[in-house]
Amino acid sequence: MTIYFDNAATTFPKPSGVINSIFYSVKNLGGNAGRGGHILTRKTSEAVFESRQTAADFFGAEVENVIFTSNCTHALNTAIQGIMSQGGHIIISGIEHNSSARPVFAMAQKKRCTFSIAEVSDSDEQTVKNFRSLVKSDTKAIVSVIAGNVTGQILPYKKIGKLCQELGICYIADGAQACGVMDIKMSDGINILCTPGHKGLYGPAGTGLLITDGKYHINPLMQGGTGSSEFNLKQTETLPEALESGTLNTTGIIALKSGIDFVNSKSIDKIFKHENNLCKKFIDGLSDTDTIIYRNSTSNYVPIVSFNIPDTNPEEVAQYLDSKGFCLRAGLHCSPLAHNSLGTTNGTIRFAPSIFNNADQVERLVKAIKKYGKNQKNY
Amino acid sequence: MSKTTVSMTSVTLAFKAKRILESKGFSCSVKKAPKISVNGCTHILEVSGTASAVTAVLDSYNIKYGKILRDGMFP
Repeated sequence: MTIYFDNAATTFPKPSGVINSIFYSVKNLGGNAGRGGHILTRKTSEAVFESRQTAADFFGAEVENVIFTSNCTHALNTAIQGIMSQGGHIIISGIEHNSSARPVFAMAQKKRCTFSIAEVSDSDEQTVKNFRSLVKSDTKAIVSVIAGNVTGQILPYKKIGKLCQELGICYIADGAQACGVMDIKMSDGINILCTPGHKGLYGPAGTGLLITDGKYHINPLMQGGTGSSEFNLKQTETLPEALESGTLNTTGIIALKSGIDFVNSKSIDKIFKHENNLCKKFIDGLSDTDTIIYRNSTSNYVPIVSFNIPDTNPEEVAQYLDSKGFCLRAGLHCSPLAHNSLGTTNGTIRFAPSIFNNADQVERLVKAIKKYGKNQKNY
Repeated sequence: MSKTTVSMTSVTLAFKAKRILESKGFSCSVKKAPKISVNGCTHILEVSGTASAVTAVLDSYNIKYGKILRDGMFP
């Protein structure tokens, strides 16, 4: 039997409503949304709109400011490159995923922008100070995760948003590990929110969202067909179509609505509490061992636990656990900056439960880790 | 009952307008315009109601729209 604890990478299993939406969409909604005028196109277009409206309501946004992307990386690239298209300086946090770090680095290499990295502290006040200290006259944006994907540490995103408002610069928030377990709203001071659809929102892979408050113009990454105003060779500036060239992933988008409906039906608070309790059980279960848990006492965390067994290779531990039926991700989790900060350049093993996991599964995982640890030195 | 046809700047705004208008008691549908405009393909709203009543609702929600035709024919 396989027990899945890699929900920070993508949630599994998916709710039955999501699965049913995929089948329904493929079987019945065959038109190309926003293109043509026949019945199947109209039905598909309206279904896409309903999904867009659901996402808008969920994050407190205007429906036309919800842009569907293929994943969170796509959303972050669109936001970062779109905001920085005219150059300037950008600040990223010291625990950013490569989905932000790499586009910033690539732009800097091409001399299209400069960037600084703000260290994330155990103290929220210090973290905000670190961001503030790096602001220059040409700083245009700050990018930060709301919660890191390695340790799950929650950043003071509302305070960072407030800082950006005070300075008149754009705040791009990466909600990959937060959306679905924290009640994130655009009114939290976020100018652009990027999130996958397939993690805490329980949609299928191939879905993501960029949500803007409309304050800052985002130059599109791609130009192309939007279904209207075709005689203008200049890309439309009307959102969301301006940032959605080409045929949409209608099946994924329609199923994403079911994912968000599922989260609403369970409630974000209950999902967070359930997963947080599983994390607590996991940590408590290993408390009589020398397992290294990458958490500090002053920070808050989303339901993710990074850990290591002393003198072992995280990948080997994950392979052992895989052989026992447990799916956990080991390695750098695409976040080298975070591992440099943690001093874990060999990586960590990440425990990330979802609403579908239970206490019995966690107990079995703890037993398996202890069994592995007993065969190691210093455990 | 008079019918108002409104050209919209995007299909998303057309559906947004439809939802709002229906919540105000208007009967409304989103269609593709029967003729290509100078800009290309366009989506339209067909609404049962006077143009002044329809545009008053759209204006109050800051929804951008294009041309208005009372008789449902597109220019």
